[in-house]
Amino acid sequence: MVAETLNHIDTLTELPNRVYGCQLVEELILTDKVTSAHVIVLEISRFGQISDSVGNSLADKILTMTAKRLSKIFSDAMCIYRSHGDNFCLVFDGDLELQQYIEKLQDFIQRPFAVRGKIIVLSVRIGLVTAKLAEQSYTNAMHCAEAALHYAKMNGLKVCLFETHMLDTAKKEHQVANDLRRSLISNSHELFNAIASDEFYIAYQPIISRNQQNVAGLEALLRWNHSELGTVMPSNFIHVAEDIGVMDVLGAWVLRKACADTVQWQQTLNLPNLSISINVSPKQLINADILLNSLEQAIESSSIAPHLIRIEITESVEFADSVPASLQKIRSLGCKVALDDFGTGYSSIVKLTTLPISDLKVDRSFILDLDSADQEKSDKARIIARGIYGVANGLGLNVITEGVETASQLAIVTELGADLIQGYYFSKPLLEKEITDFLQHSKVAI
Amino acid sequence: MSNLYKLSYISKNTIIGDQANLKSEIDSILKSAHKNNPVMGITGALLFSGGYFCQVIEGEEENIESLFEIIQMDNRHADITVLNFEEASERSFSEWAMALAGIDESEKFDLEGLKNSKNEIAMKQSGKQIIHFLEDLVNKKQAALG
Ligand SMILES: Cc1cc2nc3c(=O)[nH]c(=O)nc-3n(C[C@H](O)[C@H](O)[C@H](O)COP(=O)(O)O)c2cc1C
Repeated sequence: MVAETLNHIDTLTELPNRVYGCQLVEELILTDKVTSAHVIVLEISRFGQISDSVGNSLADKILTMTAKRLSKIFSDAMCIYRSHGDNFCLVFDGDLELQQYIEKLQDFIQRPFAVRGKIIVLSVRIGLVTAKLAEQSYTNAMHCAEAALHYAKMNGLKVCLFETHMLDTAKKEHQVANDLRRSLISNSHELFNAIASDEFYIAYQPIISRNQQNVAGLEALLRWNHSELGTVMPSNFIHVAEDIGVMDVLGAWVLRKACADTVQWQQTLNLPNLSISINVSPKQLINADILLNSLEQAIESSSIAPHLIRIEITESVEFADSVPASLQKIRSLGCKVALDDFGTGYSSIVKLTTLPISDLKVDRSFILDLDSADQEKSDKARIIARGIYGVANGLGLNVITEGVETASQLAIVTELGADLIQGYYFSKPLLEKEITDFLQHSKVAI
Repeated sequence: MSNLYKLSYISKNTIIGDQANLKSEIDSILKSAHKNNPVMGITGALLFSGGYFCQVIEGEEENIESLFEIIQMDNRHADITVLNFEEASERSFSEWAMALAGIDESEKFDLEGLKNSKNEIAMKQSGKQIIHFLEDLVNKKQAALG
């Protein structure tokens, strides 16, 4: 009996685990004849990042403290259990008022934790459903609450009440995660080969130099060719790869392949200065040792000149304090570092002076409006673009202008002094086999 | 003591009722403190001012952690902002399980302004000031008592 209980209790938080929690709730529903229940699942936002920055043992302590808080505040809950990782589930009798629980939950969880000389403030995401237990099983209700949580996560919501369509979204995401895991793990002893099968491939988009009148470089863009979903873009699978812990392997493969391909084109097409831009995800930069290692290996195995590698980073909320140091290390290998999508999302002018970057990529959203028929819009876009080029020049940063699609946009950015240009006007991202052709003919075409 | 830490915070009072009610709740807080703090080797000072609590607790790190976790789950206040939590070389309130620095609706310390300061360094600075401020108050009170 004791052994059985042990198997059912999460040893860290001393709460029931998912399986046992569900079992307990189902028993209670039967014995107490409960007809409806509020199921609240909560996830600590960006717990992985907290864990990375304070260390695992402190992160464990925070989970334990969170569990204690939940038990203390909600002594009236039917059951509280730890679903997994940083996810907890709370079940209440459905006759009670839901709103008050949510407010209480948010209030108390968001009070600061003082641990080992650090103050840590958590925020949580909540998915919930009120289940009529005559119509659906408890497990089913829990899945609905989890789908709502997932929806909240994808849409940046703090609290999300379940609606039927959320199941579809969750299912699709689930499929992506599953398939990705299968693609990467099924053949783990030969992982590199598994990736190199045609499922993953790199598309290359040329970057043109106006001044040199040639192709200055290529940007490597990872693609996943899914048997049912078709071509899947990184924005739809990188976070999955990060979640299931295969991003490092995938990232290493991209670095190796992109560098090797580039060197081959440099040699066969006599383009010794052809550069290669490679994207890395914010998570890869947090524990950057693996990334640096992969980068060094890619340089060594391809013999590419490091200054021809441009690592592209995108600012994100997940940027940890360690990122500037990681970037500095990339720079010391001789590589360039570009801040991507500049002018959108989280990037700010201040970052231009605090991050050790060498290049700046102006986001396409600025370019789009440059030749807008709306005069006011195009005037404003021009002022902003001129400002960005000015700031970048002043700070000694190289600017790459992305998203140039029309001749008039090209004319305007050229007039504003842009040299390096990328966009559909010159070329869409190309398959490996199309690159040779493009590089050979571009010599005359630009 | 090798592992001495100080934590200071401010929080919003949520005790409802009149002044007498407030006084009796603060009494009960102090009673708990006088009972529990010595057992944990904790000393400190508490101020009530203009709708805010302001408290300094000092002691071994582990004990500060557990006490703070208890205190902040208390329904009698909310909106807790920690000003600093740092290692310290000596205690400021070594004679006091929990000194009451004052209950005053018109204390001139700008707690509201403090709370809104988002700057961490400014916050730490304020934390230090608060500790000194409470020290002063406690000393003055003691002198007055003769
Ligand atoms: C502003 C504030 C400060 C408090 N300070 C202390 C304290 O220093 N020590 C303490 O034991 N309890 C303190 N408490 C009370 C605790 O939250 C809790 O009610 C008490 O520790 C319960 O212990 P008892 O049941 O042994 O009295 C404080 C409460 C508030 C609202």
